[in-house]
Amino acid sequence: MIRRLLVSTSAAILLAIVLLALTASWIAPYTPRDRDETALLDQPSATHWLGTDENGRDILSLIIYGSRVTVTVGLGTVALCLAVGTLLGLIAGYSRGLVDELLMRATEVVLSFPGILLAILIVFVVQSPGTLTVILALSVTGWAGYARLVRGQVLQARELEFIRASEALGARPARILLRHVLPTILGPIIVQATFGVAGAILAEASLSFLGLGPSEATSWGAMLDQGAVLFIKSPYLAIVPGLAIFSVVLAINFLGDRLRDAFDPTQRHDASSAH
Amino acid sequence: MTAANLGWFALRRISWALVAIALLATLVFLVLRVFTPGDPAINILGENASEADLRAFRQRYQLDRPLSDQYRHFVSNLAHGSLGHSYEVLHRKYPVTAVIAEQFPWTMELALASMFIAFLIAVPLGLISALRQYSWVDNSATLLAFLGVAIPNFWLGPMLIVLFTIKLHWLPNPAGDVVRFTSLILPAFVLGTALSAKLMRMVRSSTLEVLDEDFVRTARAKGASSRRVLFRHVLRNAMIPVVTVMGMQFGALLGGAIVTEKVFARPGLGTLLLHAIEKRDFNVVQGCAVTILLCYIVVNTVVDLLYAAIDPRIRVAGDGR
Repeated sequence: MIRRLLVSTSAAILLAIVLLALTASWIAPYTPRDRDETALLDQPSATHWLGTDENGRDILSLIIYGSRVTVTVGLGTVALCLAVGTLLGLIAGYSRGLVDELLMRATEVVLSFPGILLAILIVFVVQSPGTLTVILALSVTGWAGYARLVRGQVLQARELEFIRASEALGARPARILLRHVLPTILGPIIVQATFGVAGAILAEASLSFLGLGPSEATSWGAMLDQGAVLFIKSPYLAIVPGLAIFSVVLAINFLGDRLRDAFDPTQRHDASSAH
Repeated sequence: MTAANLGWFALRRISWALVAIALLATLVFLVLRVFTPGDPAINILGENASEADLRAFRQRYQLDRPLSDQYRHFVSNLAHGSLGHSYEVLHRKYPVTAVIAEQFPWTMELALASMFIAFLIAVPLGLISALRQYSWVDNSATLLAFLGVAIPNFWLGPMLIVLFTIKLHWLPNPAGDVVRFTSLILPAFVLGTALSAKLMRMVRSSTLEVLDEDFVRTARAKGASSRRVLFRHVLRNAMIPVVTVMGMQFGALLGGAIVTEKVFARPGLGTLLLHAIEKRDFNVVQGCAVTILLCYIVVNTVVDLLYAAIDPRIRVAGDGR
């Protein structure tokens, strides 16, 4: 009962965030550029529901606009990692031999690099990064986990009777991989991708907190960075964006856990981690 | 599995680590030297610097040489344990290794302390969760694990400072006197939160697996006390994968330390890296990246080797790759 409630609440939170991101310019009371010089660091009020920051900007509007970066980076990073990782994993697992060896060695090298460090270096190089740069920076190492997972799953799936039968019938490798292997191994990939979205959101927020996030858009991590300086005087400046990041990541983890249970009942009640 | 097999596995693993270090150090060099726009000489000396000063700067740091020469110099320096010299005027007399050597102990101290705290939280909670499976303790621990993984450490940090330092006065300002042991508690706890959540679930599932093993049933059948079964048989075996994961997570802690050091205004590699990024001091950025990378790969290799020595199945898997 509690589990079901948690999952539906999580789904509602995520749906709300996606809707906020899509409709930000219509529903936000102000734009991120609007400054109310008469209301600097105002407490929450009827005019500014969540208060204002030190520049007189409306916190609620910044949160609504900030959801765009969260959703774009979360989904964009995972989509890119998933596309590259799945393709390379399928090729490595199916071809085996030298191709597999080379691809897996490359994967291991990438996995040997702390993702956040390489992302910091890439963003540093670009100087004023956009959302796309952040997505690319996080994807440079992010694809490797998917490639390894997919390769392992393909190796297992290849031993299944119906896939052996298609091979024996002379089906082309591309057809076998896309029509038979991929649908069979989709479950674990979806689960990992779900946790990956949470990881990408946290990583983007970390980069923004370090002052290395998207420079052209409002982001929750950057809001937290600014808010942390004024934490004593105006705690809501940091509490609100922090709560936003926390709720979204928590909601994704709850959903990911439920998905894992659905795809693999043996793992039931074995909750764990994002990324 | 014979000692020769273990030696062969170690040789392969160490060779591979060296290749990974070489490839990734090259990647760091290329990212910083090839793709970075702008002239480091202008970035450091400013646009108003005279042409003679700019030329002298480029000559001093060999930025006027072809990329291949710069790379050869970088590799030769690295082979001799040098990471070049800092561009920044403040550090002009210091080689990058000296600057890093000053900051590295702070980061190591933070990473080790956070790992210790994560272990202290994870082992008892994970163990109780497994022994009281599906009880309220287990459910609460599961919820805690979810919260621990989801909470951003750069949010948790300021809140804990307000609570424990400003409101309750229980702990000193972590940025104040960093030498004091108590200044380490909050940063280490914050950095270790996510790790403790992951480890706790790992201890739980690992303990549940071991509890189901034949040798545990045999020990009980032979009349061993519950305490003896738990500590001599269950915990000892359940901890093997846990300790391995801890080792592998060490690199992630070094990455996380970059954020935590900023939150608590602590000295360390992360603070040095961010300062060097702000000043566009390439050699220091490169040096910090290579140092973190080296730690990451060395720790992972040592953990792999230790695990292979303990569990022969890993050697088989490694050989089969």
